[in-house]
Amino acid sequence: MERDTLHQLLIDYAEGTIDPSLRSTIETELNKSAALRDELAVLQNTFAQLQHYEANDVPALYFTTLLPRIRERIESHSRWKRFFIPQWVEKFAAPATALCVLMFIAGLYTIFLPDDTRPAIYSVVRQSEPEEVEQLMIFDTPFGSTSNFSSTPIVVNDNIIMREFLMTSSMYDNVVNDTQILAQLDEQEIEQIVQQLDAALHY
Amino acid sequence: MNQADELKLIEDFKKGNEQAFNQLVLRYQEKIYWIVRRMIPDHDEADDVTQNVFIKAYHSLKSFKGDSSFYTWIYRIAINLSLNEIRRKKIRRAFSIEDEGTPQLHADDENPLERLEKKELNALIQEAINQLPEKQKKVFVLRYFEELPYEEISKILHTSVGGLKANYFHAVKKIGEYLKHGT
Repeated sequence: MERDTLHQLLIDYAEGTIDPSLRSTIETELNKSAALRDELAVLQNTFAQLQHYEANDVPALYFTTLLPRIRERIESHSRWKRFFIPQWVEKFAAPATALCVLMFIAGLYTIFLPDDTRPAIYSVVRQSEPEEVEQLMIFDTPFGSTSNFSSTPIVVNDNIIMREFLMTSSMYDNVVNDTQILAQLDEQEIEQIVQQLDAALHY
Repeated sequence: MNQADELKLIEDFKKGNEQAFNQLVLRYQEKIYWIVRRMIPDHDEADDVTQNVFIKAYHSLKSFKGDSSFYTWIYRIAINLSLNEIRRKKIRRAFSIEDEGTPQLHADDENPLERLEKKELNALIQEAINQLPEKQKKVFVLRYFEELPYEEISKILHTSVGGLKANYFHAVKKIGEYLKHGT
């Protein structure tokens, strides 16, 4: 017999509430197992000791004063609510809260979404193939010359970033790095750069 | 008062009869207080939780659909709020050194030594109950003190009768071991 089942029978047996049809089953098990008899002894001793347990004291008249105190708290809560929250507000509280949550989510979306749909910096150029990194060469674009470009392009997250090309662009003297320059380009300009890159790479 | 009377009181309360709610409080206040008090030994804290049980019942009764009996429903609230209070206390205790208090002796005609022994045993039993895991404590309180049938406890705690019996077995065994060894 499974241990859990034995425990269930044993507690019923110790309590004296065991189903008569199961009494002989547990008694047979008890005869067979000393460990089970020990467990029964623990349960019986515990029940015997628990009988000495006395209910804790309750202040006199506690139950006489309980209802008025509950009513007082209910009333004061209702008064407070009536004073601060008109009933019509309560009525619309749930839909208004739902609306606020939706507006909050929409606000977060607006904050964290870029101002326009311009692609993020690393998507300016398409994803590179490993061999392309070796193949990159000098080329010109309408926004600057890469004629003095000689170093290796950098690859970030598998995207080719033409750092030197952008750094040498004379049109953007007031900016200090490629990220800022790219941020100033619009979609069309970026597309043109991508095309230039494609052409340079013989696509 | 039978179940039909209770349902009538609940319906009356839903229609705005505040007296109907008072009747329900009067009917259940002692039972609820003692369930809470078995789980939270301090009277003041138990009193606070008992009041909260009825206040919660007051505000939630309008949504009571009668799928279970009222006493199953309110016992469940009592058990849940008691456990919440126990958890809050545990957290508070973790951040501060709280005086657990010592049993006070009362002067009356009983032999002081006997009274002390009885007090000590009472305190030890209470400690033994307090150290039970939450689930075993709920089952023990409802079964031993409230003497509820397993079928009723099953409705309150949403646990199978077999599971309840196993929990009760372990609870009684742990109390016995605590009383024997004090740990």
